[in-house]
Amino acid sequence: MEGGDSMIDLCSYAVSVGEKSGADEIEAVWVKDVSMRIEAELGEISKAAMTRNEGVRIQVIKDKAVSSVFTYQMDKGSLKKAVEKALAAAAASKKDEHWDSLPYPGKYPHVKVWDSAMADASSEDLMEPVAEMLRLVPDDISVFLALNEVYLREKACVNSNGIEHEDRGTLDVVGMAAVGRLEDGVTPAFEKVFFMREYTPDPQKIAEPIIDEINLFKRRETASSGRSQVIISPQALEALLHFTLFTSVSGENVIRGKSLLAGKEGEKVASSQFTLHDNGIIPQGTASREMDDEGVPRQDTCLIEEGILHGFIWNNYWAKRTGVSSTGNAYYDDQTDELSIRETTMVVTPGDYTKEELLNVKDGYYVLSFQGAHGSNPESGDFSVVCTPAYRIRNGEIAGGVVGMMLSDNVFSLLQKIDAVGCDVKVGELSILPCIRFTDVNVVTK
Amino acid sequence: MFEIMEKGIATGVQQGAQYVEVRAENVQTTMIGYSDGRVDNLNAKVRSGVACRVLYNGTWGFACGTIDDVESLVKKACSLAQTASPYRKEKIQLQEVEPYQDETKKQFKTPPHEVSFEEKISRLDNLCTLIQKYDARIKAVSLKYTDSHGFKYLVTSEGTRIAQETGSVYNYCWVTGKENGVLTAARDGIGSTEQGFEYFETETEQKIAERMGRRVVLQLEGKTPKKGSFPCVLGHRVVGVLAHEALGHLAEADLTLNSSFNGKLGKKVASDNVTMVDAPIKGTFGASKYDDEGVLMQRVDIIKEGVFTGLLTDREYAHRTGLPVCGSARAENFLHPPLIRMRNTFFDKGDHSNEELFEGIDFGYYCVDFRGGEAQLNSSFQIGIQEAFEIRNGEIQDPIKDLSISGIATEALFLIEGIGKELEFEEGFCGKGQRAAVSSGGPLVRFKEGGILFGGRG
Repeated sequence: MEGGDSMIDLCSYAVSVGEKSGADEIEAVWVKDVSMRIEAELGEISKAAMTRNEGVRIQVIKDKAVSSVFTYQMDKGSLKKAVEKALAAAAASKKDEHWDSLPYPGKYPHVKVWDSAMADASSEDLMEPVAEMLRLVPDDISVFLALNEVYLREKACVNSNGIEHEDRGTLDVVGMAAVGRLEDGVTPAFEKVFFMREYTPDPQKIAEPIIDEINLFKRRETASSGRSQVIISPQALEALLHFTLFTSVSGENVIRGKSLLAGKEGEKVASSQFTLHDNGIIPQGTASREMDDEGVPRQDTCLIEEGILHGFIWNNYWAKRTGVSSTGNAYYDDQTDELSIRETTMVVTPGDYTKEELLNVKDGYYVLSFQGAHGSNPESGDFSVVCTPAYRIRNGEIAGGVVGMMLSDNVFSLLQKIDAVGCDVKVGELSILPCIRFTDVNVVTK
Repeated sequence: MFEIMEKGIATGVQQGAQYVEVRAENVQTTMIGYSDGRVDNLNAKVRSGVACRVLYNGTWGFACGTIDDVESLVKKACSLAQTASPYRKEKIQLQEVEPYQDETKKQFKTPPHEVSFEEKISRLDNLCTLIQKYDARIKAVSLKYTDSHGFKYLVTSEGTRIAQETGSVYNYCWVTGKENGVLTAARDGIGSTEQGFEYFETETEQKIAERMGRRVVLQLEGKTPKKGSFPCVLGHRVVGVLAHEALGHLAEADLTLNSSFNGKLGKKVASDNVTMVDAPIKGTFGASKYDDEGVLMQRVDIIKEGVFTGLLTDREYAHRTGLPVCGSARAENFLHPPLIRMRNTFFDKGDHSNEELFEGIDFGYYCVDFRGGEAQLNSSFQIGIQEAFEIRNGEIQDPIKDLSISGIATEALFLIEGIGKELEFEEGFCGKGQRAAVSSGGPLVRFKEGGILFGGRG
């Protein structure tokens, strides 16, 4: 940065350049992500990495045509060039008759997601939890990945409508993935990953369940085709819902006729045991911040309350086009350069059932993870996924691991078939979910 | 550029690193997101930065940032590796390779960065209109065009000094259809790292629109597929993703050692007629002359006549396994260190005619196109299918709705009983932690009942 200019100062500079150069509206969003990662493979710590990804995205609107430029060069000269380039791109783009305006200032929530202990953690501090996880694992289990990665994320947003805000957050991702050795190969991969906004890594909490799960899996069982009770873990549920239900609550998909939930507000779309919020301010959530990627305040949005559909998630554009307010769900994907609507943290209200009570079925399955959830049909809600790892349950006990079992069903009918909701929740990358038991699910085997 | 990178190399050597690698890039990208006649994203980016990787006392250290900071980044990488190295018992070593000094150029007829935004948008306008006109039941069209152009530089402490011109064009479609309250969708992704914007002279909007329209209509009109295992014929694109997921990933040496294929080199893993290859075939998506460790990209025969014969390696895993390097170490961009990645993975052709492949199947399925796939270390594979048909009495019959197919590769590859004569490839991206352009393909392949499980609901 030049001469002690802050992120806000330089964003303001870019906005003032745009206004003087003829932009009707302009927004500058500065993103700085610094991470430190310790990684182990083949049972040994193999690498230590520091990544600094810092840049500014400048969006301009000229005659209702929108364009943006992302630059990694953050001196004033480069920002000026980026603004000029964005204006030239807008001149070449198409007018969007539906364009209304960039967002206006809102009241930002206070979200405690910055942990000084994490920000101050050294590479040595990060090393020990990984080494400890490796020490806890017996010889018949191979760790193919263990990691401890700390992210420090800062963001500033300034636009020509008066938004001028910055926020920051820390995140620790610590986890392990391993396979058990078998006489004829290996078990599927078992993994446990903790996403934490405060630095409290606990290697035992990661390694011990993996060891137990692998040992349980080694007792071989079989699955059989037919309708069955299935208990789905939070990790598996997150993958399935991310590629089906969560896309259906996007305001854009609702308006464009791409969601089966369109027009169903007030209707029963799930079991009365199912309550779902998109919560962008819950302190444990990985996406919790004060603002989204357009400078709109994050919030807690009720989507489904006891099975009744209440609403959808929105960014600025689709909210204004529809005549509602943005829910603070604008998301800029640095990898694909797309600005879209995305869930923050999807939170399902926990129920009353302990894990033992959930598993207390005469005959059923317990699924830890799905293979192929991303191949689901997000529009129809149809999914056809491999359950791996998964267990057979007989008389309330885990009888052993099953291989080659699929579930083929539809997410909207699945949500009506909720039998019991767990009382414990797991913080995932995109969600905070309990374990859920479903009835009458279509199980497929050879 | 090389001069400043050499400063980083000198810093690393001075710090005591065994190996220092500095990668820099300056790549200009365009992304146009387009939906139902509207440009919803037009983004230009110049991705510029530097990645510094060192091997210090047998442990990797990595730091990335801006080129002006190259010396401090190398120091940071050394200090990170130094902290980590006491935790390692077995020190990482690298396979020796020939250091190259080279500069590679792209031969684009129409470099994508020289094509105006107007022309790129006009192409999307035309494509959207053609798809919308294909059938009244098409309700939403989402398109995405991306291109890139620039240079990647690599300098190492062993004398490698390579500048590679890089570039690509890619077109993605997602189309939604609706009839009687039923929604469905289909996807398509095509692109080239060999041709520029001229790629779309042969991959015309008309061709894409017809393909997309057909897929959506087939989905709307499709029957509910049965569940269970049936004899089947997999089409070129599905065979490609099968090669990628069923064994391709498990032939990446960093994954092989923890997979069901560990210890199987030299052993029979498939029917006698199966040969599977990963190779940087000129013109295929993801191929370049050198990988991101400066190793020449070379062909690997993964399965030869049913026997497991080769792994994809980087320099670390080549040394660890005693296998040759093959140029498979690729990094998404300067923000990541290189990983072992596939390039173009395919089943080689066989000697069955298409008629022979379908002959004698009383009931089964013909799977033409896919929607994603995923591998597991126990060799379980899954492929989402978006275009498929029933086979009855040896003939292709009614379309079916989308589903997934799955199997266990250590069993399924032995149940291949017929391989067609014509090879075709498809392009896409693989997401093994980082995004990499890959292609895959093969001829039509027939499986016996028991090889593939169909996750249907009928």
